[in-house]
Amino acid sequence: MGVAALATVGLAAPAVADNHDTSDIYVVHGIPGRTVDVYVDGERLLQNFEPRDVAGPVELPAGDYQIQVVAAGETDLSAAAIDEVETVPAAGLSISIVAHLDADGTPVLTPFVNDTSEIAEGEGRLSVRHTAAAPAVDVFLDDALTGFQGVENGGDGDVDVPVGTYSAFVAAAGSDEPAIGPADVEIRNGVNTIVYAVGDLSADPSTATFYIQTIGEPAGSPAGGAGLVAEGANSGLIGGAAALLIALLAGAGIIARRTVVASK
Amino acid sequence: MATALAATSLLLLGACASADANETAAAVIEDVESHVEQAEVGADRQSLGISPIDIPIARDVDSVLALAPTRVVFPSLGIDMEVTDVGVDSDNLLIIPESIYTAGWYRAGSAPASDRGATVISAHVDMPIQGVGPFAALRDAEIGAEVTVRDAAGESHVYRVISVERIPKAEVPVDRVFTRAGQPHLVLITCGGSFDVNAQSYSDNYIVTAEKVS
Repeated sequence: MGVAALATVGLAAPAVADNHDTSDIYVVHGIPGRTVDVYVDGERLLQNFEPRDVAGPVELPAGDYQIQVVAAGETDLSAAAIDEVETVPAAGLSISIVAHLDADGTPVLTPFVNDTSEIAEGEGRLSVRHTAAAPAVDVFLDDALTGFQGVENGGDGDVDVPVGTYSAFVAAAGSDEPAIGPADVEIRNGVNTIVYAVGDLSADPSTATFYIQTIGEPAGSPAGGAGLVAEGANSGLIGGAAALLIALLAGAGIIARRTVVASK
Repeated sequence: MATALAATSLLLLGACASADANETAAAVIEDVESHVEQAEVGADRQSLGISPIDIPIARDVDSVLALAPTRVVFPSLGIDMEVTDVGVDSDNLLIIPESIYTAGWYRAGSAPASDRGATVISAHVDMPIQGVGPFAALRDAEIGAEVTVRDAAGESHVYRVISVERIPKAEVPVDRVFTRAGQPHLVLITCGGSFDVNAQSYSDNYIVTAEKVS
């Protein structure tokens, strides 16, 4: 499971985190509507874990771990909604283990390896992960189709973009009508903002939304502590930054477009 | 606990030993030994060594779906119309709803509830057959006039006009008009100026900017 997981995420080599003996493990609650307890190897580590919550990082050495997710307060582990063995393939990784609905609406766990490689100054990393009970989707950024197309449940992608506020939505693959979103996504300097599409589009569309996990927030600063998105700052499509944005995003497979007011 | 009870039983049995009692004693000893074995297996199992209290839990409450505008009301101009969300077409042009009575909110821009950036709403000034639309009145907007936008959550957002501009389309500062930065504000756009019959389009855009007051 471990090596296969790395292959599907498409990383050439795992980035080395600070700790050489363990990996940083996050647990993401991506199932709207359920408060749960999470057991790891029979020990209850998370209690009353709510949708949207991100726990961690927890440092775990490489190995196999049995993870059981039960309704909050349930002590009979044989009644676990999710009961899977997850593998931490090596030390020095950063992994988000996400409890979510698969394409058929069944609760599952999917591990995503977080890209902790260096981010260029003035940029942040946008990660998108399809963890919703829905068919394949295309990802749109600022109303433009990105290179992330036909992404299936369990699939993901990363791209580094200039700091700023972006509008993101996902559409059914091949369509340009928002299925989830749009929602504003804040990309901050040096921060990895991970957007999870969650919910059950067919059974209960009201649950379809985005959950966000950020990795790399400067310690002790309030949201946006870098001050790069204060009013008047050169964020978003303003002046010369527009040309730079277009060049950058085109290189990453995202089509960026400036909007022009329509005629008539 | 089981071990202590078993030990007491052994003492009692030993005190009044008989052939039957010895057999029973043997059974009890076996039972105790198996309990001790199980306790040892439990002790061998490694704990993860993680205290649940030490695990940080974060929740990003800022990430919410945009609440789209549903209605725009400009009392002094007699505008009271529904708003739908729109994107851009393949030529990068903002898509305007066909009906002159429906305005379009640029869905990749700021929503009214956003704490920064431009909420852009546009409508046709007129259309063949339909005639002149409510947004034709934008050119008469006065500085300080009040505009209200209601969103999908039922919230009303109030703005006050701070500028009215008429700009040739090719010169419209799109980066400023569609900015995602700065104080939250409303931008209402329609067409105006001279009409090119062959091109079926107007030469200019009217752009009314209103700052958010509540």
